[in-house]
Amino acid sequence: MFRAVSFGDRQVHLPSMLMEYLSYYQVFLYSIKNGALLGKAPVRSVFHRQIYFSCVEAMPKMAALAAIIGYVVITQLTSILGMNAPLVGKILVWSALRELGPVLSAVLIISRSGVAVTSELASMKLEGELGALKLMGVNPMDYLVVPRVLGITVALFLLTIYLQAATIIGGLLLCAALIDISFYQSLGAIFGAVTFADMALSIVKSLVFGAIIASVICYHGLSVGGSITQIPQATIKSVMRCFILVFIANGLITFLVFL
Amino acid sequence: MITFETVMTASQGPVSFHIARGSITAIETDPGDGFAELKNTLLGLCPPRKGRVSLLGRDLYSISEEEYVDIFREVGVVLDDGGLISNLKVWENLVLPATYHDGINAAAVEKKAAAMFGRLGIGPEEAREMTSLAPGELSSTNARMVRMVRTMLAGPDHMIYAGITDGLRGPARDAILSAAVEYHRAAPGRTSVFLTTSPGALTGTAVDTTITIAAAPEGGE
Repeated sequence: MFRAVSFGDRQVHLPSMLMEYLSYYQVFLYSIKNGALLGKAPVRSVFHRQIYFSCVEAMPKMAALAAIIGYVVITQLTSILGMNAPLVGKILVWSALRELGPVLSAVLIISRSGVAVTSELASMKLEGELGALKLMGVNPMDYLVVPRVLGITVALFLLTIYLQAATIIGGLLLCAALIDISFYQSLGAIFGAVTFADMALSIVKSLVFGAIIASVICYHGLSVGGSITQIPQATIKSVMRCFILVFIANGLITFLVFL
Repeated sequence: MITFETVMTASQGPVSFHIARGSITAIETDPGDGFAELKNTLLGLCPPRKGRVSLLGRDLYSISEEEYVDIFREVGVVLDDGGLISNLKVWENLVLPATYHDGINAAAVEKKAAAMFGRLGIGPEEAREMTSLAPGELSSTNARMVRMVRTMLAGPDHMIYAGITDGLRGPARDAILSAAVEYHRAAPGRTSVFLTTSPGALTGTAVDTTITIAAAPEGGE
């Protein structure tokens, strides 16, 4: 039974949406339970490729972007707070480690891997390749979904660390070159401001965001019906759902941490 | 090994037969819808309107997805069309079942694959070139041969060839049939089932039984 709830002009069928959220969780749980499948060479190959595509390929372009973001944040902070290295360092740690790193990484992975994986899995389903895998005695969930969920989760974690380092170091280098801030003094202040709790928070966020994104995009990719027009529909839906859930998760984690 | 019990599809039936383990059987049917329906019904892809389809003693339409996948570890299926994974190169498609199920190293599979291609009339250079392509770049005949080699590399005891020689003539057809029979005889107890739309397609091949399935008369049973 569906219960339609109106949101302005839109009607939302609650049970089907809740069923989808439950399905995302089931996809994630299935992938964790069957992580040992990474012992099979073909599954491991998909896992490695996913990390390469989601993380390694994005790194060169993201280095410059992260440095510019770091420069902008540091410049804005010093314009407000003056050359107060300890305080600038603390705020940079809070913003880069706690927020910018995990969230920017999530946005990057949603816009690259979210689109790619959803449309790839949807195309495979429409072309009958899932059926072909079953006729080879290969469970499509085991071969297609498990390595992608685990790969994207790991990729987001690695990308977060990379972006945080690039934001801080790149930003400080740019500032040292452009606005005469002492690189070593600022770096020292930043290291002094980093706590274990900050690192743990960024790790938890990156893993949670990675799990959410991977589960959502795999679910929607495999949920298409028989029409090719459903591929872009599924892709749009998975990307939007990822953004919503990641930002909700970010808010929830922040709320729980600072309770 | 395969049992059809009064199976009716949209255009065929009722059909009843049993294929025993260790036999070579040809199932001849009409081209078009009839062949597609029979193939899909046999492979558990489309439930029949009536009747029961059993593969390895299990009702294909009342088992779980896990059990379904398990059956096809023991039964190799070579399709006439489709079946290759588009985001993998031909070589990766070839070694997928063998490396997935048996953990065999891809390099160890290479020698076996080269020998199998040799039996199909494809030399080492041609095979090397072919396996570096994407599946969409293969000719229809070569794609069938790749599917055949891929399935055989996994070493299943039972093989279903769905239209694999239909539309082929001459050396390619003869090479495929010869390789299929050689595979059948390579180990005791192997079963081979050939689904075909060409009457007499297996002439010259040592077939134990030929089953002919005609379209159902118009107006029902």
